[in-house]
Amino acid sequence: MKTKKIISAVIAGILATTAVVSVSAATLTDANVDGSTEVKANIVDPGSVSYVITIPDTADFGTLTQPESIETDNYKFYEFSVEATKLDIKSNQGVTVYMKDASSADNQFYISQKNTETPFTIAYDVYDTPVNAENIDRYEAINTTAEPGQYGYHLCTFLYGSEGETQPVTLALNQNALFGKALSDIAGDYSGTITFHSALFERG
Amino acid sequence: MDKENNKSSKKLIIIIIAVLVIAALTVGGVAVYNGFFAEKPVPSNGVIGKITDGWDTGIEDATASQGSGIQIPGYGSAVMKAGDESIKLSIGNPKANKCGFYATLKLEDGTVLYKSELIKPGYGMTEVPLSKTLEAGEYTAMVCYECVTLDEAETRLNSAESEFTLIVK
Repeated sequence: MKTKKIISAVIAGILATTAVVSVSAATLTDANVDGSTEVKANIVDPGSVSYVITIPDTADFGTLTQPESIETDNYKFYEFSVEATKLDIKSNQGVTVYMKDASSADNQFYISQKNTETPFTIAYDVYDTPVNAENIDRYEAINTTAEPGQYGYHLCTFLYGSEGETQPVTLALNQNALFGKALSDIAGDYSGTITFHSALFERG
Repeated sequence: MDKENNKSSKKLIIIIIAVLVIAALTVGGVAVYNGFFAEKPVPSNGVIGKITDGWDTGIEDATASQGSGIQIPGYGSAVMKAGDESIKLSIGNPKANKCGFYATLKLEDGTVLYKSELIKPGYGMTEVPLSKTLEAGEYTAMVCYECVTLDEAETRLNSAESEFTLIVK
């Protein structure tokens, strides 16, 4: 009887130890969604890279032309895309992307004349879709219709599983802004830079 | 009677040893499994703040971009202890890029915690020295990647901010 009690106690102890070890053996990862068990917190490798997005290196409109008339629009377009190059995120997470002019004070987008004390600046609009001279009237620029937030205008959201997807963007500059200006004042190189802000978020 | 007790004690010892052996095998098996299959830790270059070659995003093959452009690393969270003078954070320039990075780690309120020298493609660090310590709490932080050409002019290109939650325990 005494023997049985001792054996029972030893087995109970062993089983308890094994249970603890089994719990600690579970590997929890950001992307580990297994049946009904969903890991909610970023607990593996905090500080490691969770995603990679690809942005354009420049916003280059090329050579601008001063129009002879402004009876019609004279747009110059620059197209690029923002890509979800790699997403190592959970199924309930996404990456949201905003864009803003890197140096604008009024939340609009500009290119500025380089190498001059009083640079001439030209505004341009941002469309979150491919746009050209024929169809531009059918779309509205995000910088004219949406309210900018702290990090600029919301461009797109890449959800879990959207790796490799791209968000097309078109920049449209109406060269009518150059009409009537003295060429000596506006000639030269122009540049502008955009800042893309990305953040990981959880749904629900 | 003594003989019977002796027999019983031997039996008990054999059973306990058998159970202990089974338990040891179980624990050992779990430990070996974890050793083989646990996720590899982010490689550390050993020196805090030293920008070294061989950095990568840690996400398998992040080089397969569809076109040209600049690859920007993004983060979910980072964790440190109150009073720590460095943080484990993988800051670097993916090797697929053709531009340089100046990386700045800062809080949402503008407090700059770290500013890097020029980071070339394929270079980076996994432990970042901090210019100031932080109190316990949860902060919104970001790594600002200012992108420049790799020539002498270091012409400014588009830039990016990768926001994340900084948890200070």
